[in-house]
Amino acid sequence: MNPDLLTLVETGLQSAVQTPRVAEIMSPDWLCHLWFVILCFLLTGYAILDGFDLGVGIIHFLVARNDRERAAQAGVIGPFWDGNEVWLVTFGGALFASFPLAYGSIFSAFMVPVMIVLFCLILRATSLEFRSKAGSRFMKFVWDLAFSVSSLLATFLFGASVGAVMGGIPIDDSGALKLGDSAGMLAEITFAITPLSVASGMLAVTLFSLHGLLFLNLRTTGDYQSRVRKAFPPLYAAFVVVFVVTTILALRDLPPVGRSAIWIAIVATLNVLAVLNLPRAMYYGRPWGAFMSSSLVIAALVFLFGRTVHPNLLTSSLDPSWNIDIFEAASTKATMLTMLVVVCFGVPFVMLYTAITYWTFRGTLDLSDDDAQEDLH
Amino acid sequence: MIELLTDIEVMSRIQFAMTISFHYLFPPLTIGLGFILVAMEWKWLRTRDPVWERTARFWTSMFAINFALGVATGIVMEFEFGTNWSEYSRFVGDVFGSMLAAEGLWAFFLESGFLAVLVFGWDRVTPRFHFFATLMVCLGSTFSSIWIVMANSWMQTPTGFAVEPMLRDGIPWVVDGVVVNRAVLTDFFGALLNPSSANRITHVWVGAATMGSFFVLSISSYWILRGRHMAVATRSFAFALVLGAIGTVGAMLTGDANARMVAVHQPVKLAAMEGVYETRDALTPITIMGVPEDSKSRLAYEVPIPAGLTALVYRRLHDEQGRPLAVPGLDFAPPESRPKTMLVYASFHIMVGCGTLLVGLAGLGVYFWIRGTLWNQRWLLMLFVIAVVPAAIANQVGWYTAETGRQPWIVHPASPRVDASQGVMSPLWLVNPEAEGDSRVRQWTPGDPVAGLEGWYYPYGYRISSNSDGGHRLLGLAEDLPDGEALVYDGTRSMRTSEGVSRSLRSSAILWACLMFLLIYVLLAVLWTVVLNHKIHTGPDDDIPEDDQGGIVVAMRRAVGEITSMTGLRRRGDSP
Repeated sequence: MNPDLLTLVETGLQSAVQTPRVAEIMSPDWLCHLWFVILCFLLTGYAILDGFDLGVGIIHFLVARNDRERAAQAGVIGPFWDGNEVWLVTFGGALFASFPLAYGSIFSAFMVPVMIVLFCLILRATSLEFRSKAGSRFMKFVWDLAFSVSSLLATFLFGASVGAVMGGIPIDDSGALKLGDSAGMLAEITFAITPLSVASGMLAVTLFSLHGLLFLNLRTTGDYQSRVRKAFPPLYAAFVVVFVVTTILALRDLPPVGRSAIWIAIVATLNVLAVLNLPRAMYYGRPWGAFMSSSLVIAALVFLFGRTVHPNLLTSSLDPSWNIDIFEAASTKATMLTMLVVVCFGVPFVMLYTAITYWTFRGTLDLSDDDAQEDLH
Repeated sequence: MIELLTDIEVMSRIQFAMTISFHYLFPPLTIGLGFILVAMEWKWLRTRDPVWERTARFWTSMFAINFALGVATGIVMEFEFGTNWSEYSRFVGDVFGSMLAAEGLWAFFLESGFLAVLVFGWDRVTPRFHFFATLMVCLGSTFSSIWIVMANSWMQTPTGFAVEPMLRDGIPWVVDGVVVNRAVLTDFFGALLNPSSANRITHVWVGAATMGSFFVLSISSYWILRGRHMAVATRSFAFALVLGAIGTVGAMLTGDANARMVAVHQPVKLAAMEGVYETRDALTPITIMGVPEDSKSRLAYEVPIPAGLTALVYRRLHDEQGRPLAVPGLDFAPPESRPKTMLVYASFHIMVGCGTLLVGLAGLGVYFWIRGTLWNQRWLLMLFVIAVVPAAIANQVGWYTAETGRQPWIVHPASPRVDASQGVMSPLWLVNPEAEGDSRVRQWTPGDPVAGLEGWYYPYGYRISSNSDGGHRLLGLAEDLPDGEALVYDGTRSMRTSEGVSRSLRSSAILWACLMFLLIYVLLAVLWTVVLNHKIHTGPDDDIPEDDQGGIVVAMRRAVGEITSMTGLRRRGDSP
């Protein structure tokens, strides 16, 4: 290239970076906020996408009547679950890269729950992969049960961990979990059990099952779909009860948020509207509307979670000065900028792959088992 | 034994080793199988021969099972960095974390996005697009191997970074009276393209090609021996044989390049691999076998080939002055900076042994194939049936060599090349553990004579030693470098494995985690064997009832597309 042109481009870039606004956005503090937002985005993506296949797992026995229908039901999420879990992997990698201190502290504190979740995720994939290989009806049932229980347990632990992080955990000044000297066998789990964490675990379970049900509603038709619809009211009722209880507990336990209360108010209102829209969309027979509403509920809850903990990533229940906030946990500016470039180039492609997958496997199916129907008639 | 079970570092290493060993059964298999799938589908696309389609479909279903297990078992490691190795994560997050995140965003999404099309999309997309999806999955898994091996290589030969104290509330963070340091990225591409990246990535690729091709060879030769599915079996065999030959010979060539790289950048690892305990001022032999005894600092029952190691490492025997070239031994490092030799030595020699076997086997296969009598050599086909086992073992123990050889370091000391004549390097502090008081440390600037420094160590690092003639040179390693340059190890830019483990862990929790994973991995191994056995016996083209044909792959395909005509696929709007 012409050297003059190169110099010109270089000076142009330099002056662009030196303008106060860009410099301000690219300041380390701004990058920390930006990366917090990116993490929330990845977490939202994971919760919405893997949420539906975890949900389908939780309600595995709710709609399907026999193992043929359960096989078909598992087939509905077959092409998607693997890609959905990549969001979790990317979330983990991004947390590692952007806030290594928090990554280390959070995961080492939650070592036992995390290991159980990983165990469940492996068991889920395994039972999904092998259920149809089982020779006997009994073994098929065992795999179905494993699939369902591992989905349930993983979801509960995800939700409960989020609740525990919101409420704060006993970490000391080195950022490590502090269990008393006389800590019992199960101390690595019991430290995280609070009313709020249990409630948010239940919230995740009910919300994901609802979300999974709405995904099945979206992707199926015929007799099977009508059974899906019949299962909606009781699940919805359970979700609303847990939702209200969790909200009350959160308002009671969490410190009031000052500055940006207006945003919390707006999103919380949207959230309630989306919750109310669910039965409406189902009543008018709009599967997309219903699924979008439950996705919106998930997104809003992740936002509220993020806004509550921000600017902390992990709060210490022992001493507020031991909280790990985004500024002290952050990587260097160079890494955050490099990773920003990685994200900017990566995300459009991720969107493209996701779109291709969902476009290829569009359409609805009737999963009802004809033999079973004949039995009924 | 009980002490081991309560040692957090040992238990965490066992946990990581167990989970990653099980995981690593699958990635090389799917990467290698991916290469073969692309070639098969290309062939199908060009010829539209239904046999090629059946072939590609069968191996795709094999690919799918292994890929799913690879994904499911792979998530574990990413979180173990946080759960068991949180101090390590804090130290390296700036550098290592960004590579992991890039892997997720640039590789995992690519492969998982197109995997669905590859496995379930046969009847939903055009053959061209299906080929494209296969290519993308293959590319995705190759990309992912690049990122993760670059990240691991950075732990072996770190570059492109600086070490600085972590700040908390604007001041250096002190825990238990020690300043907490971290590695910060100064040059992203410098860190990615560290001295060992390229060598190790290519070695991983040829390892994967070997694994994938010997997997296909094993199943195909089983069919040929039984006289079943001959059309599919012979074609698969031929494709896999070509890749297998490339893979095994490539493994030998890249393995040699790797060993020479290790000789320069991790001399103590090479010494452990080859069982060289003592640095002698003579030609170094290579041992075919032996039993390392760390307690006596010797290799028992050794079978040496004189001057072998010198010849392999330096490609010559003497330097310009006619002095013999020696390969540094384990005594090059202070005792607390040496790995346990037994594991490194054994795994390295098992890998080389398996590799040699496979080269020979592939060579025989190619020979009889060219002669046109391959299908009659039943003994050779029988060997090919079981040869997948040494292929898998070689991939496993190769990594054991790499990872146990760098111990006790989790981030190995970097070895920057220093232009000694210009004195760009600041003075280093040396330690003499045998001296008393103030004379324990002294300053040394690269380029200073090294005579009289025997017995002095870089802190954490390697011993400087001069030749018996008192010549002014660092022993051994600087041979390939231009005059005036030396390799200098900086111990402050590294981390010991014992320092990387999480502070808050209790060994009971790790023990439970280990038992839990052991349980599910045993279960997985049994199931995997059963399913594979079933698939192999069913084969690509037997006309058997759908129900028994098995595999979630078929079940899902049935649910998603193939069987829709039976149960009545109705798009919305089609309903009567």
